[in-house]
Amino acid sequence: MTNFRIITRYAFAAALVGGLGFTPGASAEGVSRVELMASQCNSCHGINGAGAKPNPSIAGENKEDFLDLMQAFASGDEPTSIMDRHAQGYTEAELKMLAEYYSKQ
Amino acid sequence: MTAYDRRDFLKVMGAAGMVTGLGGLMWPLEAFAGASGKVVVVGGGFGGATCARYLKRWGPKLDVTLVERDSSFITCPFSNEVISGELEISEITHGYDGLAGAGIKVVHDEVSGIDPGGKSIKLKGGSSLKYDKLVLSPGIDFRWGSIENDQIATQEAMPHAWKAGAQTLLLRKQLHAMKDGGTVIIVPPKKPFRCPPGPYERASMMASYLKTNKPKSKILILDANPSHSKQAAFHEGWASQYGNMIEWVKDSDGGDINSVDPASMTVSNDFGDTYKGDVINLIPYQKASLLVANAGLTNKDGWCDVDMGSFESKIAKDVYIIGDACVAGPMPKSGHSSASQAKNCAAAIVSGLAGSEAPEPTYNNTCYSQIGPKYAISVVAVYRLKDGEIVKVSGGVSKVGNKSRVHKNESKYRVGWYKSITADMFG
Ligand SMILES: Cc1cc2nc3c(=O)[nH]c(=O)nc-3n(C[C@H](O)[C@H](O)[C@H](O)COP(=O)(O)OP(=O)(O)OC[C@H]3O[C@@H](n4cnc5c(N)ncnc54)[C@H](O)[C@@H]3O)c2cc1C
Repeated sequence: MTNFRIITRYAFAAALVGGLGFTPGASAEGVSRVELMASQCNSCHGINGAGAKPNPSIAGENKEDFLDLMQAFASGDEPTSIMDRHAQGYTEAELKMLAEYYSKQ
Repeated sequence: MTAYDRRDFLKVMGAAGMVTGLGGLMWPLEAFAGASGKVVVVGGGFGGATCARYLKRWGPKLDVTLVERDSSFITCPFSNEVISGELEISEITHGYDGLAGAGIKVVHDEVSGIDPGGKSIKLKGGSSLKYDKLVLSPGIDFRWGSIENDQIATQEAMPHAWKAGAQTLLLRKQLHAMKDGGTVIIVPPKKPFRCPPGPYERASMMASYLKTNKPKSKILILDANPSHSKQAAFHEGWASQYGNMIEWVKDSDGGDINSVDPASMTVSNDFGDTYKGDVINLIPYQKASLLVANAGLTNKDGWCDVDMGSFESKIAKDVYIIGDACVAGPMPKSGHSSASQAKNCAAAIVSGLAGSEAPEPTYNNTCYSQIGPKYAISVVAVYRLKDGEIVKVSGGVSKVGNKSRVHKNESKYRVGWYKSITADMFG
């Protein structure tokens, strides 16, 4: 993850130097909202969501499945000990961002 | 390029509608590699260790130094199982090699002073350290004297075990030496204090030990508060696991202890009732660490007021205070909250030093309490920032009437929580 980020940063800089067109993104050099949101999951699901037994890994989860499960936790359709209380705290757009993010970890 | 230049750069480029690139301008590559600057983090516990690691992860070019007094960290989480004898202290002790391996400079020394004007801190060893940004996560200290005769010396006869280490082992020794049929008294302090469910988890773990080893014994909780964390779920668990071994007395029923006598091993309340214990776990009233108090960073109640998004002190610029020492609205003083705050703080610092806007804050808390073998409960919350205040948007306590399967799962996931959060801190 870290290496990947460094590479994209340098690619970004190289694009600038090379005169390629781009729009400066406000958070291109800082921390994105989804990175910060996802970091909050690490306390139970391990670094980058990779899991720490018996807590499940959420890294590399199919994004449709991730979203579906989180929504089912939030609505109570899927029994869970604590994930309902977490899932209810995020908007659908945020859950989609997290689904996208974890599908790429 | 300093953070200031970078911010201007973005502003200028934005204003010019910069879409076509910079043509032949030569920019040093490293100028675009993210945040740079010197960040010093004080305290290598839940807030500080987490913050240092995320600063380095999100700002690989940052010069991050962690200053911690001790050579290793013993977690308060799971220390109640050391008292009951289920775990050894070595199993909850963590070293700092993982932080050093992640490129963080780890300095083992005590910070003796902070100079926000000069942007430096003084170390007991004699040297000082300069910073661009300073993060403080020094935890709590005790308000000795809030209860008559509760002085620092009292902790030998009546250990608090509210900072894990020698005190944890002392309380364990006393519990294990007690006769069958003895009385353990737990005296929780008036709120706010570190780990609101902690005294009640401790009662549970002590009861678990006593049930097997000294079943005629009793645990009396003399509480300075009218109610306690996860109350209904704890009381349900106690009744099912321990019958009436644990008795909880609230403040108005005589629980509000105002003096103690270590010589006779008694504690007394305003009504004139005196209780005698064979083991007394006296948990002192609390305030933010002396480090921040001596630096003038605390409010009249003894805690640190901060901007609840970035955790920057309301008193000193470029000084950030996270963890138990700060006031974070409804977030409980827990290791999980401290780590959550640490990540928001790291994101604000990295973004600030990179000249970009900090992401919208996002916080959570998950605190499990063990009640007995394969039986745990939890409190969970997700928080957001609204009008400068942290507010809870979802969460709650484990339901009363949950099936044993749920208690069992919570007990399992509690172990996964410990592994995850300590790996997140120490690597
Ligand atoms: C019995 C018990 C059980 C608990 N169980 C849980 C639980 O299950 N889950 C949970 O989330 N939380 C739990 N907690 C709460 C948790 O331990 C605290 O909330 C957490 O440790 C706070 O983190 P912090 O970074 O503010 O302080 P700490 O983790 O205490 O770290 C502070 C660090 O700063 C260092 N330090 C202080 N002053 C200086 C100085 N001047 N110079 C250098 N270093 C200094 C200290 O040595 C220490 O290492 C429990 C607490 C107790 C007492």
